Amino acid sequence: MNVRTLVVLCPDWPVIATAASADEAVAVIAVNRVMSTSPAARVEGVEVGLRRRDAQRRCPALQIVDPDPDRDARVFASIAALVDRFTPRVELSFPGSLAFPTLGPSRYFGGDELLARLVASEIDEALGSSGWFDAVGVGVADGIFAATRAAELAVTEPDHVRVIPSGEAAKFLSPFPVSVLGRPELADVLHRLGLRRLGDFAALKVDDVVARFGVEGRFLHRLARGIDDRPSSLGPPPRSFDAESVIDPPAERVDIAAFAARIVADDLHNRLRAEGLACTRLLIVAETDAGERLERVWRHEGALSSTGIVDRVRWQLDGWLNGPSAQRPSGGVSRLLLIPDEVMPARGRQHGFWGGETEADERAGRALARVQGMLGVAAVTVPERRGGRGPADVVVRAPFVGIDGDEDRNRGSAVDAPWPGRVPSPLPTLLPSEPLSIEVLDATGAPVWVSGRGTLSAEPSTVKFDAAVRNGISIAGWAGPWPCDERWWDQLTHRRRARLQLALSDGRAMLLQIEQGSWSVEAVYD
Amino acid sequence: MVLPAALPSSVPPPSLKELAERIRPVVLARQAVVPVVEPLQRLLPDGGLIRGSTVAIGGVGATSLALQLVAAASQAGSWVAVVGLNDLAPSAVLEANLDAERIAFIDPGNSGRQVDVLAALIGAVDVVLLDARLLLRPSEGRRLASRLRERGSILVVVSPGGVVNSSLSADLSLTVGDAQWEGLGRGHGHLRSRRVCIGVDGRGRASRTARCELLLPAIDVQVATAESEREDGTVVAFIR
Repeated sequence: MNVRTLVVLCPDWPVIATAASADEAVAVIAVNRVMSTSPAARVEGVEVGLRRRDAQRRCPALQIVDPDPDRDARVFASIAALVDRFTPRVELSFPGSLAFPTLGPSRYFGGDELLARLVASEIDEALGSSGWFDAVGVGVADGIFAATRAAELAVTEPDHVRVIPSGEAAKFLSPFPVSVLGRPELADVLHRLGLRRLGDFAALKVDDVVARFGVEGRFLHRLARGIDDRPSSLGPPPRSFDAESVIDPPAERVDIAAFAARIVADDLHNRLRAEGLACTRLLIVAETDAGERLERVWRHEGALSSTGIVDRVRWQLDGWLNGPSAQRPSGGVSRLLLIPDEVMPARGRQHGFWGGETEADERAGRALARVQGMLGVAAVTVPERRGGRGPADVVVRAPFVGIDGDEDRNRGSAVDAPWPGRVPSPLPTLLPSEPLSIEVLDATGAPVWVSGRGTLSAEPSTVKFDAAVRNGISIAGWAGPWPCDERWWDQLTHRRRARLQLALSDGRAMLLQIEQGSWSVEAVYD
Repeated sequence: MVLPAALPSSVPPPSLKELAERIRPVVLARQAVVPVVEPLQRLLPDGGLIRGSTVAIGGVGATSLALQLVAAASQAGSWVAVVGLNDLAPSAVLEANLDAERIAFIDPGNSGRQVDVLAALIGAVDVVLLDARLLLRPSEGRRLASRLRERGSILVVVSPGGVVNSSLSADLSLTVGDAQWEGLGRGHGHLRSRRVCIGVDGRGRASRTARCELLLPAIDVQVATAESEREDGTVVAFIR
């Protein structure tokens, strides 16, 4: 997606940054080639790319300056500060060029054209105060590539502004030489192919470009077509809220570590609150003096308070320091690090009045989070309706993440779907975690099996849980087989089986399944 | 001077019984009862689950009975935590009308920390279903029992098809037996209902042993109110 972008470009920036006056002939020369020149030098015939000796021959009075990217960037920061007044989302491309998306500022200042004029006059004034009039161009177009091209042209315009209407980037770019793509090797090849303009290159079929030039060729082809979808690094710079505490001497006991955690947690909480943020996911890292490290991510649907953070630190360390001896660290905790993994605007939090979250829910949520601290996050699960035929598919266990954070956990189209052929209600209460193999025998003691057409080979009469036992348990009633051929379109998850419901003479009832010729207990009605 | 017709001295002093009524605490332990579904009310000596008590359930059908026992509490807004019982089918839990939003399954695995887990849960959740196969030492059992009484949670110890855990002395123990399934023929039909006989035994008010026949589960989706008194005095209730 093209982002409407404004680009400010000062093509002579390396020279401007040297603080030379505009009417002097100055050139920045790097590795024996002219990198940037002042207008006065250009008049004398000094061009970018010229060798040092040729430049000096054309303009004997030429002042030669060595390049200094740090200086360029340092001086350009003052220009960036000017633009900061229009938008906070300024992206510095390189010294002499910056960009920002126009969406918000443009609406505020009355359109792209007006915004660009304001920016241009502001910068031109600032540069003009040191004699550098007409050294800036402002271009607005869809995407940073087209906007940069527009800014290049804008330098020579009287008002230093060039706005390309939305949707016309491709048309605008088509007369440019292919060399503006900034890939000399590609430009060379395209030249030899007779494609001299971006328009010619853009007219090629994508497939052909990819076949010949690969992924990079495809990217440049998109640029030439006016599609500029480079990921934007715009936005406020990420701030780090990490809080750290070094515990010296190392804490051997949980309460000592928790005390240290309270100070860090308060600090973290205050800094987040100053920004109007609240932490919903927190990574707690504890390190011992022996270099062992325990990391755990904590999630909380309502934002974590500083007491909440301390509780979690305590639970986590409790699970570690007082856990089974095999997992216990060899030394005390020497360093605690709290990293807010997910923050959101703090909206405050209130208990439900009618329905919704209650205090009991919160208490239970805290206890469950604490148990997660002892046993690991995966040890606490909640039911989640999925929909399906077998008793194990209808509802599955999903990891507990927090109270009322996943409201649509038990909804979805699959849940209410009819699922023809599902196991009838009442559902079995026990699902053996490992399939328990069983033998189903007919009256003569021969194994019973299910044919490919879904019929039993004989009437089942007894079952044996253990092949070594002489007499099996007799069957009081049975129903089935219920063939079930699921996900036949997918090789990996395809299951073809038949189910058999059994009531045994001792009062037990179970659901058997036969899969690939062998019977097993799928579920027990207890 | 005319004396009032009734002299103050003529008011009879309040009897001890009346005094006891006046000074008794607002809620007796017997009154802190968590409701159960209607057919189970006549099974339990107090008509419900008493807060702070331990209930042990064993026998073939123990899982179904345990789920039914806590279903009404869950519907009334109580949290239920299931510790252990890793083979318990979540589909059956929801089918037994437990609230999916207020239940959590906890798998202590072989961490050996089931006591810590239980201690954290007791008081925070109203009902804890505990797998009887998780071993507790007698001292730990006593500690948990006193914590239970203090915090008012209910511990239901389930031993599916097995014997009741001895390290936790239960206030009430229910044993399911004589299961008979109905609805399944020889090659036709499907399991519909099960007639079970439940033996009740316990301490205090529950010390009189009672037996009761139930349909667990019953055919209807709703809790059936139909019941019949049999000649030997046992009541058949229908539960589902």
